[in-house]
Amino acid sequence: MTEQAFLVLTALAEGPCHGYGILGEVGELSEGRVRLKVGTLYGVLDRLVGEGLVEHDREEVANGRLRRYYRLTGAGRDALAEQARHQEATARAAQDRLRAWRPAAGPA
Amino acid sequence: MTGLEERYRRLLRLLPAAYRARWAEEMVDTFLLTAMPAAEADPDRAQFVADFGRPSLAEAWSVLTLAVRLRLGAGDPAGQGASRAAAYGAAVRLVGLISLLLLAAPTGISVATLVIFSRHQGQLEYAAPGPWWWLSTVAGLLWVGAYVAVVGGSRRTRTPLAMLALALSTVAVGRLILAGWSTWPAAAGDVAYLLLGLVPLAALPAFHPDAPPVRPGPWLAALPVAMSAAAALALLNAAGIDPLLDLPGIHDLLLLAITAGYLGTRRHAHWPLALAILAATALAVRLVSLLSYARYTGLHLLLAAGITEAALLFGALLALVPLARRDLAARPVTTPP
Repeated sequence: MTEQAFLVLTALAEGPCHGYGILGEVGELSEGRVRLKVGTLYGVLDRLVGEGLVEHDREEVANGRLRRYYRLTGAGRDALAEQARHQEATARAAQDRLRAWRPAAGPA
Repeated sequence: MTGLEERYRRLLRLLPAAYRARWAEEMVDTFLLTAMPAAEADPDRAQFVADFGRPSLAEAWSVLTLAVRLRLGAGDPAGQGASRAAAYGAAVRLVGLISLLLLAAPTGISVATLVIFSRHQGQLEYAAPGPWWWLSTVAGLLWVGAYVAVVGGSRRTRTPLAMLALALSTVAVGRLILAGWSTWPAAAGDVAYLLLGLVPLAALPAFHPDAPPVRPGPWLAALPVAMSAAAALALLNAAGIDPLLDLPGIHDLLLLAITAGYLGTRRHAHWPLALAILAATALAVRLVSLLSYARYTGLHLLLAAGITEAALLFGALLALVPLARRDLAARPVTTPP
């Protein structure tokens, strides 16, 4: 799973959201590190919908425009949980190694 | 419709029609929300952006890369490569791999040259490789690096390596021309060979994150085989008085060997399209170089070999194009959602 897909799924884990909302959530979740462009977001969303990880939730009209909301599917929740476990395990291994790390002794 | 919206909709025309029908309205809405400042805070500014604003370069780039990816099968996760777009994607990736392999292969000649030189060092007839020889060799090694990067799935290094390889090759050819060693029209052949370096660069976007990873085993094994074959073919030049094979010639013979290998097995449906693209490019380069050689005397063997290669490439095209057309016709344009 790409980092972009992981962040979009995480954004939707809190509840249904529309495209603009997802962009904002992704920016917040990544502490401003990832700023998705609209073309990129809809490439990721299209793929996640195609894979059955995200589905259409509802439509609302705002400022005369149709706004579509998306939500996680059961499969999307499982995929996100698995990826989160995987990342947690990697982060824990890194922390353990950092705790055990000692700077190499320099020349006397 | 505001000017900004109109310009964004025009940008979205780059996307395939089926994708646009499904996503364009939402994309426009989301884009306008990101691009428009709040009208309550600054109505003048909001009006100005609505009238004269344009999608930023980064936004345009994201739509352009999405359009390229979709046309190369990125929107086909459920179809598992069944759609025509997925076949184009697989074929373009194969073009990238084989063209890089063929550009990396002449490094085998450099290795053989170094081995021969080290064994006969000090003998008059073996001049030490000069700085320009080393430049071409480094360019060849960079092509090897780009090939290994693509096979190994290293997205960050492959494009800079391929661009650097092409840049160094260009410097080497440019120097030949400037020094008068390769004069027009002979230079046309060198420049045409250089154009082969653009083929993998054009194919690299097809290795997008959604594309299936390259199986490294067979492709890594193919590298020493291609390098040895190129070195063995180059030895044919040393055997005769007149040169028999130039770099495009070695490139063409290796490509023909791969094509013959494919036609013998016919296992993968997207191969004919890829091989046809490569054969057509190689034929164009071969014809340009032959036209330039024809103006010189003393190149009879090179010309005869070149004409044979061109004829064989044309024959390969005749065999490959119907196979490619049949495969594409059997596939749906896109897989149903």
